Amino acid sequence: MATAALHERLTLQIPLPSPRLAKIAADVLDVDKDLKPEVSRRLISTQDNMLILDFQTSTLKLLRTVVNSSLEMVQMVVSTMASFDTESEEP
Amino acid sequence: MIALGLEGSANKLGVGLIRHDMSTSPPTVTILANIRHTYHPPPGEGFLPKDTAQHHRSHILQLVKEAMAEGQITPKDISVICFTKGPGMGGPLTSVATVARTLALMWNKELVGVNHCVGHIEMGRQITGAENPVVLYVSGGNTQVIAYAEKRYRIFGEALDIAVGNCLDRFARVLNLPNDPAPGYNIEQLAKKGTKLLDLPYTVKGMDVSFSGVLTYIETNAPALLASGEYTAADLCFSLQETVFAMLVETTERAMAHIGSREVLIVGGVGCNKRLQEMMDQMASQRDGKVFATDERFCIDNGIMIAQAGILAYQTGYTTPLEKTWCTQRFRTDEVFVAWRE
Repeated sequence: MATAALHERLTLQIPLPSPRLAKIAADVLDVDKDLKPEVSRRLISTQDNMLILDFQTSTLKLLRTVVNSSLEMVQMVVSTMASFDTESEEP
Repeated sequence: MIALGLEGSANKLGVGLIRHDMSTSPPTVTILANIRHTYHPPPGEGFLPKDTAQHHRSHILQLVKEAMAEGQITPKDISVICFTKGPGMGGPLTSVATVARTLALMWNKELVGVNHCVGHIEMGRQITGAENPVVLYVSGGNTQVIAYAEKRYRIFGEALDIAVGNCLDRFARVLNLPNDPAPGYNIEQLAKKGTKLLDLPYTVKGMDVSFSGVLTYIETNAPALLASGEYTAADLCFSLQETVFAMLVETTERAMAHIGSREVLIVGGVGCNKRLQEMMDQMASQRDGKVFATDERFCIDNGIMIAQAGILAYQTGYTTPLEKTWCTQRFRTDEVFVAWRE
């Protein structure tokens, strides 16, 4: 089977308040694997307090879909952190 | 030991906090909080995955805050975080699991992924005290006849196509009944006013049941029957309930006869239905048996059942490593190793 070339690319760099939180966000998001890696891939990494999402897809439509759904989950992670992070409360 | 339970496999979002006081034998179980927020689409519509997931994301943090306030619990009090791994709708499940994972990593807690069906069973057992019943699990998404044997909840029979609750919910759309509080509830109320029984397809295949035929029949014929004035909407609701519930009673009885049980435990949202409970009771009494059911706090999807099933597994040393906390739409009840029972 011929693999589609993943021409469409997008990289998001999302700053989190700390490297610890960036690492947590990356670990949480990375549990959900790509549904169809042959046409849509997402690579998650961190750099200091930056959460980096690298998207590679075969079509623009797929890129929009995966970026949208990823951002929904990033938003969920970030709001959860904002509401419930206990480390920032420690003196 | 305190567990936080998060549930969101369908349109109900539930958060529960449960305490197991391990100083007694068996442990003393206390419900610290059990709150729920339901997504209701407009009448005539069903709930779609994307909207449902968005509903859950919008309400979950508030629900977790309220639950912890009600239970007077802080993060350090929590022993384990439990969440629904499956079965159910993908987007909604993952939205909730994402919160569970984030909390677990921030607070440094273990995670337990729970099977939704096992959650219903364990909460039913806990609330009713039923010892070893045949379990009828009936909801919008599931219809199974279950019995426990050798560390597994074995599926004796099930719906081959759609769940009984799905059949009822989709008929409610044809009648344009409100989805608030639940389409099935509104069918139940309307059915009480029904007097005329319409002959409907009745499909039991051994231990299994099928509802797509009766649904197609009633969906197709309802407009003409209502227009003719021969049957009212109440009569149709009444007829549909009598038919599908009789099918469930038949297969439950077959399971009882097979394993020699005299107890029936009804769990799942459709288990709230008083007519179903009444019909099951008539059958069970004839066999010198008893029916156990819970009220809407525990029948309808909730977070406390996830906390309960999760904490039982956790007490046997079971946890779900982070990389395995993905969700799955298909998760058979008998896939779970029930280590906490003899």
